[in-house]
Amino acid sequence: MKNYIIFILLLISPNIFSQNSYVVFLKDKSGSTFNPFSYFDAKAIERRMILNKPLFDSTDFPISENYLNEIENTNIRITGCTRWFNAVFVNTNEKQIAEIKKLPYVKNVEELNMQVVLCSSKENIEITTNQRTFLKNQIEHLQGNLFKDAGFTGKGIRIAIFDGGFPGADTHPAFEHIRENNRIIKTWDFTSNKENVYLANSHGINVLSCIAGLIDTVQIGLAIDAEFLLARTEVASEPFSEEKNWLEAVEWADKNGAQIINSSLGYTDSRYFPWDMNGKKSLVARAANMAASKGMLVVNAVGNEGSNRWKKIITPADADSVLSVGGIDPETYYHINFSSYGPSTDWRLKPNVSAYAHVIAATPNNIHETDGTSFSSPLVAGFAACAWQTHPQFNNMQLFKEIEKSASLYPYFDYAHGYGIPQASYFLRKTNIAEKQPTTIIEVIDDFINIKVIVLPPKDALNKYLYFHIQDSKGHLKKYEVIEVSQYDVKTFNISEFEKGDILRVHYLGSTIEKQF
Amino acid sequence: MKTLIFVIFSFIAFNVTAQNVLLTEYPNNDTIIPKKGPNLKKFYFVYIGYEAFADNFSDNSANIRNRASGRTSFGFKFKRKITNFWALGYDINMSSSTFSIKQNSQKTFPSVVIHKKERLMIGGLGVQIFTRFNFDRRGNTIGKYLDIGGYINWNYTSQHFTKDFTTPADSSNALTIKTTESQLNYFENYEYGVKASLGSNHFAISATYRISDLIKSKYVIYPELPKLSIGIYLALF
Repeated sequence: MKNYIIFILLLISPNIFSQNSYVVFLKDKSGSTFNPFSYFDAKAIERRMILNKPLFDSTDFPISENYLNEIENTNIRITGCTRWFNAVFVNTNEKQIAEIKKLPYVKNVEELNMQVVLCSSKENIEITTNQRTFLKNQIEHLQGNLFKDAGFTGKGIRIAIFDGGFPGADTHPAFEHIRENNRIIKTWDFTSNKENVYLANSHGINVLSCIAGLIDTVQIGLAIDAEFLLARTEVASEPFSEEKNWLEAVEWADKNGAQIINSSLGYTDSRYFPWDMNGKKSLVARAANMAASKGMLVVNAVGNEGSNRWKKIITPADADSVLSVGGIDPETYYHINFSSYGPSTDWRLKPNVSAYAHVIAATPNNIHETDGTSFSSPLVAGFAACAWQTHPQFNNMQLFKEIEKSASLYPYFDYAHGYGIPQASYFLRKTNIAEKQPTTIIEVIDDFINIKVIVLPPKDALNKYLYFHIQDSKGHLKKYEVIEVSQYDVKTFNISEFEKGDILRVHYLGSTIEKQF
Repeated sequence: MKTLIFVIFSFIAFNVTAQNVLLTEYPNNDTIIPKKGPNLKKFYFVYIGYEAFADNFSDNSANIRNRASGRTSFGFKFKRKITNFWALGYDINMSSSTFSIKQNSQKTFPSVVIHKKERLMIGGLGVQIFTRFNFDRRGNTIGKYLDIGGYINWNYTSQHFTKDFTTPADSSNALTIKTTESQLNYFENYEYGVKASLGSNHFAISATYRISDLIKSKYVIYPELPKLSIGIYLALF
């Protein structure tokens, strides 16, 4: 009997009796000194100079040594710290945290300990005979071939990737071109404080390949000439993890000159409710916004919660300065069913753009087909690197806006696709104005409003759908739809469905029209 | 007939040319805060559990065989959230308690007769009310918790099983003799007790202590059965 009880206790106790993780915010940085030239990588200083950002920013100053020593003297284990938030991470119990709160320089304390979700679905390891065609489409849906032809392959752009591990990135032939030129600039495993990240979860290598993979001159991602910072921030695909790793990694990325951060992960119901996804509640969302304020473009997957109870975007994809990427089904060319829906709970447009969420990506030893907005995000991160190379004078938020404008549905948007799929031709100034001729009519006859198309969709058109939304006077979408067009009369509304100030906006074959009520 | 053909033709034509709506969303519907969920106003789920008896007969006579004795239960649990750290709830369950009795010379219950195997089974329908204390700040998950509550069971059935062999047992002609005695009159029809559970999301460890006696008071010669049981529960949601 005794053995039985011990067995049960052992089984359950790690979850129940573990200490909690807390983040202790401090009031000031009393006595700390800072030399940006010794702290920042040259690339980080260069980015600040280009973007006209100050080199001496109080958020970059280190935590006060005096405060750190005092906290350590209370026998509490400090597991990390964040300069940006002037806070230390500790593992302790409630009694000790009550003592910490009494310290005069402690501003407040928040509990951490949450479950991370890597945004990939179940893998399909079957390798199809059409891989080459598949990869061609994977690149061309973003018009990545135009970038490559014009010589824009992300050269000189430094991308940080936060993920669960990168096993095989040091050996896989898809990354040989990166290794040959020493373009993996730095690596750090924030889960064990070691340099080696070429282990653990292969999700990171999937993601890296969707940014910069290259096999036999066939691209998997767009930014094959970019530089990389690889950070392991998560323990496994469904572990109890802490957002502290994400916070530490984002400061590390900043210090080491990252211009783009790709984060194909997020946090959901272990700590939050769907209605908390307002870009302000979670610490990672606030950190992502701060990264943006320091000149980095943060690209994040919206999550794979679209077909489950959560349904909404995950954090930090909810942050307003994060370029949130939703998923497109390459077969149907519209929203893939598992891609999370926006908007943020304060009604900001999310996702901002979309890309394929069923891709071919590298595994530690091979390539395979896999699903998830985890892979939409790096495809767009690679796109962003190439786009930034075309216009190096852009700051990160200008680039953010231009990527939105480049997308296939713009100025139309909805909360499943954002503005659609970013298009390279926009950055190469090859957009054909003639293509934007009206393709639909909105007719008002008596009490009815009809949407009619002028031409039926060409058989070979990839995106042959009619999209419409009804936007209220506050800018919120009341309804949106995607319709497969097969006749001229597409949709009829009763005028009573509209209120004063509503806008009916329709997108079809590259053209958007609207009617205001 | 002509009308019927026209109707069928119209129906087919309509379907051939109809627009195919691939996606429709009403974002306002997503802003409605649901009332049901693991950490929302109301939550209910089913569970299965197993508890092993953790003490002896009251007279320390022949004890139960631990590996073959225990209570298996299946139930429905409802939880009403009061605050993020406190909830109230009830639980309706079916259980089957088995007491497998060691066969040795100390044995006194339910008789001194030694069998090859012997067990008692009690089938119960029960209700439990509990108060839950959560330990951690969390989203829409059950989290870590302590439940403390009381229960009452209606023991709607009881059975006494024995198994013996004709001697010699290893002979090829030996027969197995099984007996089943139902609705045992020395067991109480009702029992009550207290229960505490320590859980984390889908799993919980639980301890149940029966306060009432299972043996009717007029059967003074019978020892009371084990009162404490400890086990594990799995919530199915």
